Amino acid sequence: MRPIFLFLAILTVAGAVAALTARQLVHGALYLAGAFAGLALLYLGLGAQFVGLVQILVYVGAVAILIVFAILLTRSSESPQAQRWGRAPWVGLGIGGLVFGALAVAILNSAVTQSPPWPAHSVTMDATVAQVGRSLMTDHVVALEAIGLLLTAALIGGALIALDEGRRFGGAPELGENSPDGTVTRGMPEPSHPGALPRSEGDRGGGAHAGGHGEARGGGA
Amino acid sequence: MAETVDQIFVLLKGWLVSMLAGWCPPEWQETARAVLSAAISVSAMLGVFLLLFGITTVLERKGLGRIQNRYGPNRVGPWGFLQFVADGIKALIKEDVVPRAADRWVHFLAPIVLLVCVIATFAVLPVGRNMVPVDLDAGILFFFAAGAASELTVFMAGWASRNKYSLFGAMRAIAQMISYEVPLILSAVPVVMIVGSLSTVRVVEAQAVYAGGWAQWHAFTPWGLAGLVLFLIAATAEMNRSPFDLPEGESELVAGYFTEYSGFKFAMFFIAEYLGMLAMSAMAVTLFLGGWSAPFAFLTWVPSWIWFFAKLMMLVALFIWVRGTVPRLRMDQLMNFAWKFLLPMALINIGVAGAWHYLAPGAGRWVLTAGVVLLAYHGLSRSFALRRPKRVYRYAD
Amino acid sequence: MTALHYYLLLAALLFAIGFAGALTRRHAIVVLMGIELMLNAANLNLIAFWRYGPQPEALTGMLFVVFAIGVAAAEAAVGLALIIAVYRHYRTPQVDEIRELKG
Repeated sequence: MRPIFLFLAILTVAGAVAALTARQLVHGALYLAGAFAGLALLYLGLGAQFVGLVQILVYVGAVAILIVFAILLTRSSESPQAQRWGRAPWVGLGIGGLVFGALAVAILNSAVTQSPPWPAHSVTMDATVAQVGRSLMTDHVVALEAIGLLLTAALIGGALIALDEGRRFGGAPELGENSPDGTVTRGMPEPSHPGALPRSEGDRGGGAHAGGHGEARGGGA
Repeated sequence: MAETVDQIFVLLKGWLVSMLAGWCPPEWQETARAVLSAAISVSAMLGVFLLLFGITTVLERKGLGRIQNRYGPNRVGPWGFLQFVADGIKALIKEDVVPRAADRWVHFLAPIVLLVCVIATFAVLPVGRNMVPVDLDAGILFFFAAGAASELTVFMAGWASRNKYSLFGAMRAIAQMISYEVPLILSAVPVVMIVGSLSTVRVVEAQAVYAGGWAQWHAFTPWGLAGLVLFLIAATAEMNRSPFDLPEGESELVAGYFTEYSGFKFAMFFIAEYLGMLAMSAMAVTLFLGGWSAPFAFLTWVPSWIWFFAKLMMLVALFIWVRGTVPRLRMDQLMNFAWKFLLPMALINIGVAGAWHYLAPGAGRWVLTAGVVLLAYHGLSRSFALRRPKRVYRYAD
Repeated sequence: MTALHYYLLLAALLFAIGFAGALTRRHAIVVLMGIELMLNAANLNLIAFWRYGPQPEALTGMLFVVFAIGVAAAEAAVGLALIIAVYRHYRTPQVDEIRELKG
């Protein structure tokens, strides 16, 4: 147990540190996925099979990919970050160190870790999925409903926020992107003669397409 | 006799383990047994499925050749069946070219991690009675988690190559895999609901029950049949096979995310793709087609592993057939299909399975659930057809 | 001494790393990554307390983590959508260059 724990702990911490210090953001996202996977293995080692697998499914399978998508969509992967740190990085690091120091002192001195007030029990019991499901559907059913509502709201909200502003507020559909000063760059000039076919049909198709993408991103979570 | 033939591999493994463990000192006996048992299971699964991979590639090329009115491979070995050996040797001795601009480490890691993820999915597949490497309590979840982890490697491959076609292919692949993962998992949910377990072994055991000579396969119920079709469609998209092969559409993107891979790394992508197809087919067999169980009670004397692999190869043949006959989708069609048809259909199917569970058995239950499924199918496909904008052709003027 | 405090120390370290990262980096996505790490550190705590606590058969800590993962997934989806929307507007993902509320 101990060597495995040590290995996983080092893997997770190294992944976390590398993720937040990486110059190239995509590398950072990949390290973060490594840290998430290490945490999932720690959960599995603690006998929480269901949570460990959900962690892989959600974090490595969806959140890491979401982050990667965001990195590419904000064009942050084209060149390594020249100036990574904020104006006073040492203050932030100091605060982080202080937080860790305070937590560590508290943990090492707490009565719970020194001598647990409850009797030590066997650490072999695994929570079966059936138990988890029964508990979810009986004791925690309100929380389950709330989380369902939250995820639905996040799905719709994510798709709406990520849509182009022009589309969101019912403005004219456009082919190009909105530039910050409000001018609209179009892929081709508007046909002016009356014989031209209406463009709205094709554009609506394009809008539905972009909507599909937005949903895809929100739904992956 | 039939019992012995059915369990022959289990007996063989037990004999091997006890023989090899006998050579170890007594205090290591237990560890040696555990290690040997795992090693034998893993190597047997790997050996069988890698051989099956080789055979599948040849079958696919011959099948596609037949569909396209040509021969396919027919030179190496009898009827060309050793073609995969020649291909493997070729891939091994080819030069491994890495683009100068590529991100070397990520480029190197992508095929390896992908192959590891895909091989991990085989750990929970019951290939016969008492023949499963690990009987995990959350086996189905494990299968989908390992599949989800492989999506990141597709991005790694596409991004690290520093090639626009690779990146296009990777982005298309991820968008598609994330979208189709949702209906894929949701179409498996009814099975989990009815069986009441996430363990693949339990799922098969629940289907290996016979009533009136017929097996209680889930595919023999309205929700099961709909679930099987949904699962197979979503699985086809999940493994990027035609007609959902936009990520590697060779007429647009050279080869998609593995454009910049050559030699054995390319072969690893190839292996992972086919192993993924085999794993998905095996999961479909396990969830809906009764795993290793025989369809009729009078056929139970046939060994369980023969049933499993026969069903597996039937599904593989179906995938080959679909690849040879259905044209590729467009990106917006692909997304609309996932979010506006497969997803609502899978959700309705979950409701239907719940109704099936609570209704009294009989013809009424059959008619009611089948009616709801058909009605949903009709309504969704109708609205899908109506929503489609009229095609407008614009000519250059 | 139980094995519990190893897990608590690891979780505290992860939390501090995520916190420091969120405070020091300029890129909005890295800030979000730091926040995700902090959430995960809290989850590890909950799992460790569930396992070594007085009543593991109650499953409360474990279910807490399941819900936390759901909330974190929603937060990541909306957060990244917000980052993309802000990027569209300001043409920069660096948090210290986004200074005005009126755009």
